[in-house]
Amino acid sequence: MKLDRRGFLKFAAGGVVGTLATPIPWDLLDESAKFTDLWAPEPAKGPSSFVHSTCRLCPGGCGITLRLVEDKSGRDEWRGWHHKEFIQRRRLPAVPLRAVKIAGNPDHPVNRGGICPLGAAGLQLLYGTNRVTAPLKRTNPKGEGEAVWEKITWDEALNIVTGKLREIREAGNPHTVACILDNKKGLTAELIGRFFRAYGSSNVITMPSQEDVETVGLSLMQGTGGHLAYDLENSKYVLSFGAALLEGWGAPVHNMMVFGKWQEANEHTLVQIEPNCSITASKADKWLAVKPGAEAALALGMANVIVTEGLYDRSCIARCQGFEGFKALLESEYTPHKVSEITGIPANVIATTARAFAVTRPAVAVYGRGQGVMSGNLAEFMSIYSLNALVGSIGTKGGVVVQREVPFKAWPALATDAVAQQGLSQSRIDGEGGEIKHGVCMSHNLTAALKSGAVNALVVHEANPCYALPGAHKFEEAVAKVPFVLALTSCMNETARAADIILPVASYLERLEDVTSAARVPNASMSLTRPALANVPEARHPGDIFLTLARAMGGSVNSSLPWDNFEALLKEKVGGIFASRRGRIGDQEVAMLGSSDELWEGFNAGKCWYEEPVFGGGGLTFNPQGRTPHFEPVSWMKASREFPMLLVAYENINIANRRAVDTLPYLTKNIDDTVLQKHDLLVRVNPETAGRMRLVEGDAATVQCPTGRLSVRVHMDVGMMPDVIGIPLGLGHSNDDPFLTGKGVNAYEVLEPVADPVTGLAVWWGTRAKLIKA
Amino acid sequence: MSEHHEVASKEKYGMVIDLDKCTGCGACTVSCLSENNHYVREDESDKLRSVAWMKVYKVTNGEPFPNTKVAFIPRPCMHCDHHTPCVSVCPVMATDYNPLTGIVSQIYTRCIGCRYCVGACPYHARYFNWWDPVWPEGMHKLLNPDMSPRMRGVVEKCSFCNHRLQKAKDKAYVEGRRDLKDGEYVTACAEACPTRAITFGNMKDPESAVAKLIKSPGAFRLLEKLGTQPKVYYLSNESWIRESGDNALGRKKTARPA
Repeated sequence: MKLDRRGFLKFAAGGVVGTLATPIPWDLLDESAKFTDLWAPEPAKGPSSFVHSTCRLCPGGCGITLRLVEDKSGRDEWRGWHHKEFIQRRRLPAVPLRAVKIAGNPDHPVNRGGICPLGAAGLQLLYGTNRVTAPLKRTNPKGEGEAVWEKITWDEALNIVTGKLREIREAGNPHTVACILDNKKGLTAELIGRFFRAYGSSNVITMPSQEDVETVGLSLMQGTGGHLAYDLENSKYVLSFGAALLEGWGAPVHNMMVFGKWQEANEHTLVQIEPNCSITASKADKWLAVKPGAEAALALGMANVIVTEGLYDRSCIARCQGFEGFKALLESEYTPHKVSEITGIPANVIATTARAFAVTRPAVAVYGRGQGVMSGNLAEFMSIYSLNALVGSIGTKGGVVVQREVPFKAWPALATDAVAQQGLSQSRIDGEGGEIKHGVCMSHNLTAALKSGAVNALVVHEANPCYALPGAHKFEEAVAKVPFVLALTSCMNETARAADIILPVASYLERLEDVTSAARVPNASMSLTRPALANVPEARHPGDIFLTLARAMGGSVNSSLPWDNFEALLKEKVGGIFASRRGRIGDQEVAMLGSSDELWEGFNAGKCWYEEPVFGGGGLTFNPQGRTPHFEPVSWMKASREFPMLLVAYENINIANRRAVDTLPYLTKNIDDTVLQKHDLLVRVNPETAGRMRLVEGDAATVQCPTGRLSVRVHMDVGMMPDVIGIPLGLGHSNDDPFLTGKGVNAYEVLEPVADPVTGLAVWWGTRAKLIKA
Repeated sequence: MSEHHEVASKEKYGMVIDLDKCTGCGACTVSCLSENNHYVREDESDKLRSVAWMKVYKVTNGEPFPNTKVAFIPRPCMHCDHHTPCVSVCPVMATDYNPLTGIVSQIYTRCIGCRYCVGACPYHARYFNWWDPVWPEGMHKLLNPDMSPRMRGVVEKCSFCNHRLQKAKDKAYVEGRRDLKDGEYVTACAEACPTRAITFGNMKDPESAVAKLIKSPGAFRLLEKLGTQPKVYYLSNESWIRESGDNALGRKKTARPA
């Protein structure tokens, strides 16, 4: 049979039709789908146990309960003939464990069982893909492309570090070594500070925080140190000047727990004062949309109403100084009408709010800006804080209190040799203040200090300044000029990538450490993070790393840090709590305990030591050192023709922005598509403003600032103040995290701080901007 | 298929979410993801591909600045009591209404992936696994042994943490009890909620917190007009939030997704 062209086509077409009529193609499709299915992994079963610990992913310090399961992943022994062996293995005392869940601890006084999204996702930090699993050494010179890392042993790494530190010290330059920490709370931070002082450097600098300006303000007005806290739970009228009370300010879960109670009791009023419609503003009883940066003026306008109408607390004012001058200033400068012009809030609203605030007791005025990393100037803090004196809420129940220190045993005297003394006599690289000398860290001056070559070695401990310092890209350039950079971190981040040596640090679920008094909560408290398991066996406790370094350094550094390990130090320190006989652990009075060991056992069972605040009427000085509360606009509040809009940063509880923890993968599911869409960050703009620029929802645009430009998309948000652009902090990472890298842009790059002339501290929360359609 | 109500049972589980307390933080979502072994895609910022059994919707009153307000509506599976839409359409009995507990189940190994239920659910509470679940190296260690991860090609949804009910019952049986106490069985989302906006429990127990809360004046359910009788109730004193629960979208200008 001869097959011609037509015959062939007929045969082929018939073949196709015929095959389709059989189940063959459908079966093949079905089979290939099944064949290529990876199926889901089957979680290995095993007995569960629970460990109480403490979260330290933010300054909130919630009690957490960790669920642990025997780790049999990757093995099959619990099936078939292996079953017997499995049963036997279960009886072995030391079994590898894996952690499967973090929940809130209902017995912890800070959070009472609640948890925030970041805390609940903590296991993704423990098992994160970008954990540093061994000490790493950079093999190519800095500034020449991507870093190439070589795994080295701990001995090698510590030898390099001690060699470097010793070399600098022997040259008589210990003050050219600087250390950056996230914050100075906790014994690890204190230990690191002590290490560097004994070494001869006072350059231990913390990342920027709202607490910086508060510390200066508090010492001026009340002559006291310590951390400012607000008794929100007992306050009947809360006037919040921009604090994101329900979105991560202070101790987030504690505040939300209090808010839940307020909603039930129905006798508390929350007034939120901030430019844009935030969640806190929506949930508040009243939202006053103040012009950005004019919060101080509004506070003074309210103070004017309270003072002129005689609604102030006379007994408290009797304990204050400088009231007459303050009163005169209010009457001449801050009448409701004048304030109305500055703030955009009608005069009658200012008056009615002020009256309600003054007659409802206890009432409290909360100073804040977002979650607590951004900061305004000293005058702003003083203006808002003064309101608390007018309503008699200084140191009272339902008012502001200064947290009591946890009564740890005091540190022994520091041993300093001649080199150390010479180093400590040098001034700090970040400066000591502005017109007022205060000694609070001023990390915004670091960029200049590093560029000037004043730093020979930089140690970064669990902080990420190359990403999260305002003006981050300039700091990153400056770090490249430092001859030796050491990063201690549990996860790879932007700063670690700029280092010469990276030391892997145990995560908070793998180490024993103290977590003291939750931020902004009036009670002093202390509970431990506990080493529940070791996912990265190579990672070490940062306290132990510095104690090892101290031993290697020898001399006065070693004699200043005589402890064998961090646990020994912690145990000794806890002895101080026992000796003070203050507070309770769990439901037991410390005074009723027999020995310090009993207290130590309590801590190691995951219990929390807790002390009620001591209330008592206090006062303040309205005009310390001739500084009065006043409204002082920041440079970027002035409209300019070139940059007609104001860019204002805001924070989102699902975008990690405090401390050196990045947004964990689970949280990326929670980030709204009005904030982040695929790889693009969306800025919030009022529809009217966007319309003027012919921008519609989702349009690509460029935010042009005096300090740089960012490529974004536009989200039209009716809750935004016209001519203001809202940008979220915490996106635009360039670390090696596949869930984060390249998503959005980093707002820190354009938010360059200005120095408050009085304190020298950084003022940063916005900048001038122009929105250009891309 | 879901008309099994006549079965004598002392249990019917339901949830009450106080929207005036909810701050939209998403702790419920993360707690659910962790409890129920969800994997995370690298492109979660593409919301069309994102799966979350407990999704928090944001709504706004639509008022212009400065009278704007936002609110949040966390949405688990509603575990509809009447003509449960997904159960009615499932051709293979992969999803079923349990007359003893009122919980609507999803049996992944039975599911053939036809996605009829996804279309039938008026609450968008069901998700189809278009891709293989992937955990990065080492991350599979956080998998909860009580819950099976879902494979590609099946539909999944909130189960009211049914495995927690089984565990609570096991515990009660060991202790010689047949009935659970209020609060003994709670879902992961209710356990996590920092403002205590979510309450979970047995609606048939008149002493339970949920039974009391669903009688509050501000209680409502989503899309009540469909008659599906969800067992998830919401509370709010704000009328615009209550209206947004009944598909006011389009009809009224006052509530819309933010």
